[in-house]
Amino acid sequence: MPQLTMNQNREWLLRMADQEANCEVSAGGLAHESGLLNRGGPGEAARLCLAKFLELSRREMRQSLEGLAEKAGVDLAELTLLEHGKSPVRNPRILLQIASALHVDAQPLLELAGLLPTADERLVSIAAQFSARLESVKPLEPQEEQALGWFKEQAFKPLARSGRAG
Amino acid sequence: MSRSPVEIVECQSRRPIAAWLHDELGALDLLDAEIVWMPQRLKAVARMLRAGVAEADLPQHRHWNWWDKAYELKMLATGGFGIHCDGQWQGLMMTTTVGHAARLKPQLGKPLVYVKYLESAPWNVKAFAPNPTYGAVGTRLLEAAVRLSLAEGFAGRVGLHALPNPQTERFYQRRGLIGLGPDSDMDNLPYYEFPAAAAMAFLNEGE
Repeated sequence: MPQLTMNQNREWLLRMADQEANCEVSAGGLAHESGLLNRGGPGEAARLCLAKFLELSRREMRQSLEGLAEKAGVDLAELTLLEHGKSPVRNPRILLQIASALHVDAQPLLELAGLLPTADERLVSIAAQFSARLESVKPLEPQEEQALGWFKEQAFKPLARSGRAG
Repeated sequence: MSRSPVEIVECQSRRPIAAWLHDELGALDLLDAEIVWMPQRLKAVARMLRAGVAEADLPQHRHWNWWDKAYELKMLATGGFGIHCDGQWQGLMMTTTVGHAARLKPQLGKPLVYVKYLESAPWNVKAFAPNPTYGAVGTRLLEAAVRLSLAEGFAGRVGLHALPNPQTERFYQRRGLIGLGPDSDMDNLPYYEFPAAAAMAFLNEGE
């Protein structure tokens, strides 16, 4: 990169310093990328819990995504993103309508989405337990076992050769 | 890493003082600065808490724990600038020239320099130090971002997400950046952009 030639005008510099004195200079893009701004709220785990709850509740009612979207009167794309935990909920109306269609109280859903402060401190721990209970312990299907074996063989072989593994 | 001479302002004497603008810094330089800056922030926060300052009124930076993120930071493809004076980093900025496009209508979709991180050392920030040591550090780093934009052929266009507090937003507004409001994809951080003409006016004012 070429050397930058900076402004030399000292009057300008002093004026800029005076103006900056009562300001706080910052940029938050990196903090966002690093997840440093998500403190305090229910965060990613709660969002994933909400997504899983919506999916299981829908399937329990034997509804398709299209069916639930129509019943709740919400946009199909928005519901799909919600169920995959891909999109933070920005409009409480969507969750209120989905809760009504699923016949559940909207309050915990709004709290998990970070749209309401958590009234019940247990909710975060209940959400974590819910997610943990969904973790599968069933044996691998032959196709999964074969694929995992192939991946290990392909991906870990170079590490073993270079002496970095184990 | 190369460096260019630059002046900042010694606040107590209100005199310009020689410093160096370094470029091509990496995320590890940011962590080096944190080794020095973090204890200073903690001391300032402890002082404020003892003085009865409410938690909600404490400066926002105290929550950030860059150490936990060191590995991820190292992986980020980011370029950086730093102002060095008096044996210390006085301010740091991380920029990227890829992956971001202008959002303001007259320059919509055109490439720009995106400022991912910008911060002055805690002893230069009134929120941490009632009598800051050096001034105009943020202005100099913003100037570097505009000059980088010119060097890249981006006509001075610069974009960034500010931290949402009035003091930060006032800084960018005074420099001529245009606020486009909270960005819902970025934790609702307010987005600011330097139109090419305003960026040139900012530079020309100090020629």
